[in-house]
Amino acid sequence: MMRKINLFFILGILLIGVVSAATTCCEKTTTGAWCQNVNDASLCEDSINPITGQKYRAVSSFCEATSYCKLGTCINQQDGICLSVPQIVCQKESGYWSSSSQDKLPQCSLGCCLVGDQAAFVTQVRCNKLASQYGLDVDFRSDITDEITCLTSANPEAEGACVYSDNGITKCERATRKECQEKESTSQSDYSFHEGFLCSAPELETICAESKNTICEGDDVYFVDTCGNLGNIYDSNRIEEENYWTFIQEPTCTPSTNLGNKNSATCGDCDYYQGSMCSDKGIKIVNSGNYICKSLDCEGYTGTYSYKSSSNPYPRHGDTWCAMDNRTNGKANSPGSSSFRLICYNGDVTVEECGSGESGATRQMICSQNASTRAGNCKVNIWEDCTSQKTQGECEDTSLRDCTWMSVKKDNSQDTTCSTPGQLNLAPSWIRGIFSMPTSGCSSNTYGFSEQGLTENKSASGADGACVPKYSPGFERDGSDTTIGGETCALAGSSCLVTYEKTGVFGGWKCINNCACKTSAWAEGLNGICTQMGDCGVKTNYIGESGINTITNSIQEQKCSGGSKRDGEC
Amino acid sequence: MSKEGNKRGQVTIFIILAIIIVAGALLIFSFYPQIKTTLSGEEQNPASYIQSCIEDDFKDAVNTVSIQGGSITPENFVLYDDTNIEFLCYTGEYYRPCVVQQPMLKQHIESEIKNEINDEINACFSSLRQSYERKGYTVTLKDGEKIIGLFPEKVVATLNYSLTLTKGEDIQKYDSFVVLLNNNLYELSSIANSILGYESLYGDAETTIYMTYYHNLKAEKKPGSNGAKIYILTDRDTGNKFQFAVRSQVWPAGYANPEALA
Repeated sequence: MMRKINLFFILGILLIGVVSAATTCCEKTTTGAWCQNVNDASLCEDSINPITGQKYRAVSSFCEATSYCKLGTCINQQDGICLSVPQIVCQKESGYWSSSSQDKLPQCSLGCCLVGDQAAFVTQVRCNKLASQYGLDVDFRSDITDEITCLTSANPEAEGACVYSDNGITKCERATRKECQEKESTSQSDYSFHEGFLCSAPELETICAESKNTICEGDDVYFVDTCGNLGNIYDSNRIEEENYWTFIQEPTCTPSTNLGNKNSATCGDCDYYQGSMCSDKGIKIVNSGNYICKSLDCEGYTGTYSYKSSSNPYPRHGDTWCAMDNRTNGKANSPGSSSFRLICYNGDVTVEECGSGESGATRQMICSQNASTRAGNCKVNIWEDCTSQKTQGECEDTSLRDCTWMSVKKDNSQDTTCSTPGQLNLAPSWIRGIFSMPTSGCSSNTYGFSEQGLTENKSASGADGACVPKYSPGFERDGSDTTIGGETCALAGSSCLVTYEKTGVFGGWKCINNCACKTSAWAEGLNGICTQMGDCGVKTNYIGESGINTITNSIQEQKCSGGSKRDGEC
Repeated sequence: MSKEGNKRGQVTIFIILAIIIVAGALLIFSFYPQIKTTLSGEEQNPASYIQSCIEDDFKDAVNTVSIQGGSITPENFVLYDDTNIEFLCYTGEYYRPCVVQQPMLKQHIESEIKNEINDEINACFSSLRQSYERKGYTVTLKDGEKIIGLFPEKVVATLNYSLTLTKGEDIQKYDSFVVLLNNNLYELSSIANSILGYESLYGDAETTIYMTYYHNLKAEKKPGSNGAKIYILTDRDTGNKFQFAVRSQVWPAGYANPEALA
């Protein structure tokens, strides 16, 4: 026992030694990146750091273990922003660095910053900065500890009509009480504030009156009075209603069938989350004014759209879905293809490749979508342990892996030797007939993965099917025809020896064993497993170019020992 | 016949000369804004003189840092769309999230813009001095601090130069010059900071979150070479743009190469 422990101890030290020797932490690399682990020390910058006057450091260790590149919190004291950053990177930019994590630093604790009628979940310093930039008072609520509560805490001050006299003319501006008081303090005139009233209210007797003009304010379309003050949200049915031009009111024009009032001619109560926002009406028709709740859906988009149906003909604002760049119809995950996530926002469809560079083109990141929520997301393709799964349930557990179960059978019913033991399998049929050996009723065998690779019967593989990657990964090329990772293809390799016997001195050849292997169904079934494993088997690439393999040339001739040969048949 | 020919030749020469003069003038105007200001802005006050003299270079500097990840001369960069874009968060390894390279992004951008237009500012003040001296003023000009600041919806250059113009009884004093540029770089770089926080922690950032929160923002994530991602943030209203590169949590092709893990 002690010997084993010693052995592990020594091995451990050796392994640590190997790792340490291989990894160097560069304070700065020759390409200008800071705090990088590299395998080759010559990649570290060897010149003098102009700030310290000393050479840039390079130590045989991971950066996490060094004094200069270990991660801590960098505090931007001017802006109140905290980021997890290595010490030297923070200090070179004159930030304040602490080895503590953000949640342990009071300067980095977040709270609710209420500025005007807006709210932001930021640090106190950031809150002060925002307030000073917008010229507003600070209200920092450290008791609010989550962003959602904070955002819902934004409480716009009540507005009303701020009425004043200018050269004997009664004028008015829509404002908050505070704004109205501030105006009064800087003016010779008398101001009076009427909370909840609009400037066009007849009882205020101002020069401002109702109009048919509209304007964009935030996301919504608003009426404006003749003085240019905001009225209520545009509702063409209430354009001449005195009450609607007297009091500030919530809109009531939204129908249940068009929650965002997309392209509505009558209602300006837009909703960004329902896919509409105030915009110039363009060629659209509105009953009054020049603005409309413009639809943010991607109506002009004609490309691939996964959720297309008669009721959903084009992408809606906020939809995200998946696509591949295959040019081979119906063949997903072909060699060279990438998985993409498409996003419809604000009338535009943007495309994000899942992974980038080689990790994108080899589908190490793939897009996965949910039709019910109309959401697609890029995720890591977890395919490496597929072949180790022995049951369909384990194989297709999407919380753990991205695999799929394939059942490929070899139909042995045509064989005459399948169930006869040992060497008697090869005995001529008339001998097997004399000894009542079975010549029919042979069962089918299913392929599964064992430690030896793809294996034909369940007793050997322990599985009645093969678990393969759902999104077949690609392998890196080294510039030649060789692929790095090609050993995965070999796992799915399978050979099948077809045995024939002569039916008489002048008779022909008759298949007696593994006859199913001659069929295209068998070859295509196994090729299906092979192609799912990666860039393996008989495949065409993403632009439709065929590979060098074909199913027919995969069937190889086997020379028979002691027998005569005829077109590869013994 | 020959007289007519001579006349035609003269006309041709005059036309060619006129074209050369106009082209020369256009070249001078486009390459030397301070000359343009001197010639066309004789009646301008010093503040508007400086504004119009610096404006174009100021705008160019802001545009350059905006499309190059906050740097005038990117050091660790990826080439995308014929532009070198600075990595603001980078790891050369596989699997790991990136290391933030520029934690004080706003200050860095301000400093880059300042360095880029520093010479131009000096040249503009020198040109201003000459302009007023030609008009018979006694000019006292004292260099001061140059501060570039990113603010909501604008970039501001505050030039604390002290200028006194004296002509007889007329004395004009200026202590500071402010040049304003309407630009959303402040907002866009703040969003970039937030993306860097996510990238350094989780290895990725979700663009739709930002577009949901900021209704006029277009946030794109494009693939670059060797596992790089290019974020492009655009204000849909103004068209202002900020783009930067990240290399974070890159997955290698095929099976993991043990050497890449070290």
